Amino acid sequence: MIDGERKSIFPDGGMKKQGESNTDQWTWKAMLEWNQRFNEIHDVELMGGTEVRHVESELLTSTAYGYDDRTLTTQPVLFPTESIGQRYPLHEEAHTENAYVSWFATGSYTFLHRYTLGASVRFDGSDVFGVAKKYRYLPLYSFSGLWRAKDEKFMEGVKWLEELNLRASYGLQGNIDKNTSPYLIGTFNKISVLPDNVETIIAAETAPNPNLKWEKTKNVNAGLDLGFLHNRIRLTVDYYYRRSTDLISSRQLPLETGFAMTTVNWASMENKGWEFALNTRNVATKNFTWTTSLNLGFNKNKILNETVAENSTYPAREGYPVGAIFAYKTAGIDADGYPLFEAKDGTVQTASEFFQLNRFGASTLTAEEQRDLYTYMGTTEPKCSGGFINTFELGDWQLNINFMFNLGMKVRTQPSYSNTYFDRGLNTNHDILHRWVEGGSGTMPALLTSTTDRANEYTHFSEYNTYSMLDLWVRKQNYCRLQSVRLGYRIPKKYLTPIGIAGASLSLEARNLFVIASNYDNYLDPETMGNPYAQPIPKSFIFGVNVNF
Amino acid sequence: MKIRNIILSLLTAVAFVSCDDFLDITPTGKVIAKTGEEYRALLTYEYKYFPKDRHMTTVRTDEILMDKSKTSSTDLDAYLDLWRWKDDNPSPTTSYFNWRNYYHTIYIANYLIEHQDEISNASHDEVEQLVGEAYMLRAYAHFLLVNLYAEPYTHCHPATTRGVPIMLEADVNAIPGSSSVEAVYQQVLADIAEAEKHLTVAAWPEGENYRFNKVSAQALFARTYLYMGRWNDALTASQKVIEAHGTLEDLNTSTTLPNSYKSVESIVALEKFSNNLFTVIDLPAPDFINLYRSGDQRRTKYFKRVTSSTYSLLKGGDDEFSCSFRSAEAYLTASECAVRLGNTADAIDFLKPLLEKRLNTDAYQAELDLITPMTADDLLQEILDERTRELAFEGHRWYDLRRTTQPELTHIYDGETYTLTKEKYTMRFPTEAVEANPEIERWEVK
Repeated sequence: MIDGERKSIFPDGGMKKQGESNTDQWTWKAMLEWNQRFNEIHDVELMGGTEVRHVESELLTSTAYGYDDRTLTTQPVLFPTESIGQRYPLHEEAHTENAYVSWFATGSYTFLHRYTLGASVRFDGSDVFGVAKKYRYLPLYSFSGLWRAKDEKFMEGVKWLEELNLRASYGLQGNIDKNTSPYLIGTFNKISVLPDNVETIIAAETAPNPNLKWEKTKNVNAGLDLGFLHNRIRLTVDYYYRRSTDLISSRQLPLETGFAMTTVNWASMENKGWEFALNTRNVATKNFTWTTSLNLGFNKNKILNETVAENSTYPAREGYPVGAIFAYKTAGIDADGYPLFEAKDGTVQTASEFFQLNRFGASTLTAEEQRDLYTYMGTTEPKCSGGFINTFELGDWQLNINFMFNLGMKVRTQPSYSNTYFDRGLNTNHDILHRWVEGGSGTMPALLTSTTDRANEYTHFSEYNTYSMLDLWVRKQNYCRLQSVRLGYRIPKKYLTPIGIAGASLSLEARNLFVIASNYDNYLDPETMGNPYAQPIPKSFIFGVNVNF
Repeated sequence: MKIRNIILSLLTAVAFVSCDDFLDITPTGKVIAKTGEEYRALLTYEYKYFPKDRHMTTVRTDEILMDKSKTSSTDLDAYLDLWRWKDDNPSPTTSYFNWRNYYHTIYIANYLIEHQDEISNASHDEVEQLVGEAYMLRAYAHFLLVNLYAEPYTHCHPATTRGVPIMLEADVNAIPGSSSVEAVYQQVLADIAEAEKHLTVAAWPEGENYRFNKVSAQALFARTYLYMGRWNDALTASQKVIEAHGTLEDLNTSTTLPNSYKSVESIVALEKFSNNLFTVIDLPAPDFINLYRSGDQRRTKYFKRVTSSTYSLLKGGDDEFSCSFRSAEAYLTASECAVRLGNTADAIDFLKPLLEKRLNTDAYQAELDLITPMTADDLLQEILDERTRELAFEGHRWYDLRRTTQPELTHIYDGETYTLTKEKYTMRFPTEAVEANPEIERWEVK
């Protein structure tokens, strides 16, 4: 601005912005395969290989002002200050380079066509900066075995049994976080601290962690495939056990360390469970068939040990599932509408007593004592989940009915309203009508104002997440959904052949017609319970025509 | 077939052998600091992003006025709740005082101190200077933290009052608790003493003078002792500053403001408040401007009169006005300590060189006539007022108020009166810091 007249810092004329990007990639792949059968009873398959990949890309952006397309000239820009100049870079370049190396090998041996043993190994390496060499390659090993028992001589007479396979496998996999280095890694940049003096800086905003180890997962699987009565009944049963040690996850750091987050090995966990798949052809006549498919999964997850951060105020999940929900047990509200808490010794306490708040609304309990204030409420993972599909075929007509269900979960929903900040402009559910008001009979927490003599409790509720951690908001979650009903009709060939059409079918499908669930008041759908603004899963109807020529 | 297999295996073997080098790629722009230049760049980053909290505390003092119709809505969003001391639940848009940034600076300082023997491509003096600056940064960051978030040293029992966590190691796995106010101050003093042993640069050239130099150690000593009420020590330190760097900007002739990094007064030109809140009309409180008597050059050089009763600020709002330590503060500190020690004649002598450079000839004489016969109490008040006038809007007022009388200031906004009560002179720890580490709020008298 000169004498009140606004003037652009850019010269008159056009702006010419030109970008160029270039990516070079090459891949080298070598593979060796070898199959051989010896004496008609020994089958050996071997495969090994390597893959090497290198990617390099460059990016260039150039911007010029005061461009004249007749003379192809541009004008220099005179920026009034450096900080304004930095907002309009004239020339930018970037360069990235990555390299990957993998080796892999698999092998299997089959004896008498019915005993198979297999093994595989794979290493995936990539370029990582500032990470110990031993962490460059991610390893993966596995061993497996298969026995086709029905092919044994002694089973030949068992006519009702079509198939009997026994499977088993064992695998080991390693993983590392390549963004975490044991060293303090920085990024170069150019800035000026004081005007007109551009200097080099190194921003080191990623916490180094020299203690980070491999995350390892062991996998054991045993399975059974059964086929009865000419495969009219097929049953697959699987048992799995997966144990992960030194799991890697990000953890909040005390800000006094200078960093907010780092990556640590935080826990060991096991997953075990059963999976059943039962497929039956209930009716199979010339014109009518009815098949049913039932899938059931029972998974049990447990954290075996967790190195809870000493600074964490949320309990460790050791001995609990990974989806464990902990909450503060409440005991209604007091005469002013403030939530009351039920302490472990059974007494009823105010927030101020329960958390030992200081005048700033912060708890003066140790992190460990704060962790102990929580009570286990359940897990977000289903105890049982599965699907149930029925298919009917009558002549050219086909009907599919498909249910899915998840049972035995808990969910932490968002509080229906905030007790310290209520925005009248937002939609709120009915709970707000049941809040405590002077002389009313409401049982839900009151809307608090800051001009009370309980300022520390007010500050605590408004600043910390205590309110959303109340047990009031933890709900049961069970549902069974009719995922789809589909009716199809295949137009008979006799109508189609004369007009040169190979095949045609019509279908009408309805998705998500209804859901049966435990109480999900205040929410639109039991599956998206938790967030009151979540879109419900839509009902939809689809009409389809399929024609082949 | 066989020959092909052999060739393939050979090629595979070649790929196998060269893999390790092949994966050795240094990403563009990434570095693990090794050289002196790289360690300097680590420190430069900390200087660049050093919190500007000291200047922002101005918002909590009587220097500034906020008005529903005159203050811009972005400034109201950012500063209103700080200005009216609504600390219980400020609106979410309110600017906040830093926590982690201070400790990031402390981390890098510790990191440099721990790795000083491994710094390559640097002379002994260069390494010493880097180490000295690291100690100064660590001292200054702890000093600012304890003054933002703990009770003032002069108004509490320092040995039993909760201070802030002290971090002396670059350790991301540490879970620290708070130390006492006394312990933090002792650590600050120890760090300055250590820094002084290492600092080698007497003065940095213009543009690099945001870095700590040799004089800055005594300047920080003077301020720390003053805040502790150790008048003798503060006096000695500020005299050393005056001796080494006593030059003052003569506002009767100079067009450079004393808090500019280009000023002859500049000792450390680090902190600033480049937000244009300061340059907006009517923000310097008219009552505050009335502290400047006629003939005081600062009244027209610090402030621009916009209408008969409204002003805008000229000494802020631009990167030029970067200032953490400058000569004038040493004179004011020396003068205040002298009068507190009962030595009024010395106090006036320390004030004279400054007054001479700030007032025109008539006003200077009038001022001398006014202060010479004053009682010690009146003189102290006058010196404190002089400090307020001289260091206005440079982030001193808040700390001076809290270490001295902690007056119950009032601000009126939209017809409502807000009062700065004594406990609001100490701000609470940021919620995110307490959430990340509850140990810092726990304080048991040991």
